[in-house]
Amino acid sequence: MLSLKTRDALPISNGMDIYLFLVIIHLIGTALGVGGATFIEIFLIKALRDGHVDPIESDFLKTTFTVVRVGLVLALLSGFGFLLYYQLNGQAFKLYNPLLWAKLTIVIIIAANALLLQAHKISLYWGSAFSFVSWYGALIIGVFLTNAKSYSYFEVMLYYVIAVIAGSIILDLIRKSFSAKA
Amino acid sequence: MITPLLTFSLILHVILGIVGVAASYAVWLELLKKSPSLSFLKKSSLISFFSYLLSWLSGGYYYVVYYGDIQKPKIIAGAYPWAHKIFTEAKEHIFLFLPFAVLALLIVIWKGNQDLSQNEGLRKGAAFLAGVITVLGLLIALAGIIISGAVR
Amino acid sequence: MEISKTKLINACIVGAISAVIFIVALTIMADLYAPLKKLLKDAHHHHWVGKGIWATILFVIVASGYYFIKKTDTSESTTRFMGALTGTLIFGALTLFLFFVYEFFKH
Repeated sequence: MLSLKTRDALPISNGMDIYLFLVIIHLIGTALGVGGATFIEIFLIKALRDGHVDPIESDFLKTTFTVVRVGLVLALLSGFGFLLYYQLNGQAFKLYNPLLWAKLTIVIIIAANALLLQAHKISLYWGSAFSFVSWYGALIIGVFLTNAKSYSYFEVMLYYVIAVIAGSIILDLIRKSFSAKA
Repeated sequence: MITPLLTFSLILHVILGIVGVAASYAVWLELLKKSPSLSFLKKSSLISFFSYLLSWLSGGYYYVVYYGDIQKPKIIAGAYPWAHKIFTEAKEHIFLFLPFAVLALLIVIWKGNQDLSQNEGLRKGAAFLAGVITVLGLLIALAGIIISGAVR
Repeated sequence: MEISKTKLINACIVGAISAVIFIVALTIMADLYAPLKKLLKDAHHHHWVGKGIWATILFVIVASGYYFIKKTDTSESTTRFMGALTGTLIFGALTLFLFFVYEFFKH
């Protein structure tokens, strides 16, 4: 079976193997996504202090949305790169890890949430909570996967639901407290 | 024994499949706007079509040359025979729908021009079609993970 | 929209609908009737390759037929045909998935 871990397999640099390359791309994608989702919340809090989003604030938000989408694409491509790597290197059992499937579910929720927000079918209250909690949730599960933590799919999704509910309340309180101060 | 060409085919199949899903998702997202950008729609639909088409061809090569004789017997004899009998069988045939559906959507976008922003019914219909294509592509990708994980 | 553009769009959509229905029907028939599957395999090296080839041929025939035979067309029919294609995709995918689930538990 062709091993993709050898130096010769990837002609991009001396010594860098494909796995390391995937880790770097995945981390960049995650950083852009998590950072972008965080700044969307910060910009929204600042923009909604006076009750409406003006054109400059809207422009900042649109740019940050684009950054988050770039992050999502990088994370997705490198994520599937990992799955290919596992299959080609005799680690196919990792594809049945419940944590992986929980992470995939959360990534799908991120994408579905973006659609619902675009179509104005979800309120800001829930939309921002799903976005913010999902990105951090995917990051945390990624850390657990790397450190061989073991949780069932339903356990993780239960914590996720609790985090979304708690996150929606907390984010709403923060927005209200900043708009009260304005 | 898997050859470098087969490995390359598998990698191309997976990556282009994901690019195809992402591109059809981008088309769906853009069509949800009241005034979608025609230039963005044209580029995304073109990327989507060629990605699905090339994923179909590269995956087909891997499937016909390698999967059937080498991996299928392992899966059927292993702990997860349903991975082939349900998911591979469904996936290999449902995937055949996508290039035709994506081509139809591509033609609607490229030839429809200003009608997409002026005709709300047309835009919503195209959005719904793009959505179904994206969801099918996503389900096919998830089925691929299930099948790959069953090869032990 | 100009009539020729509308006809081209509708021709592709109708072609896609016929291809999807054909794939579903041929897949189920070939699974239930082994000689058909063998025929596809003998003619095209693999049954799946045969299904793809014949679906493509059908798409071209139906789309061309629609384009050259239809005299007038409207964008309202485009919306209706798109709805039909969407429905066919959903129904076709469900049918095939449930068919293979049934086949798995039957055997």
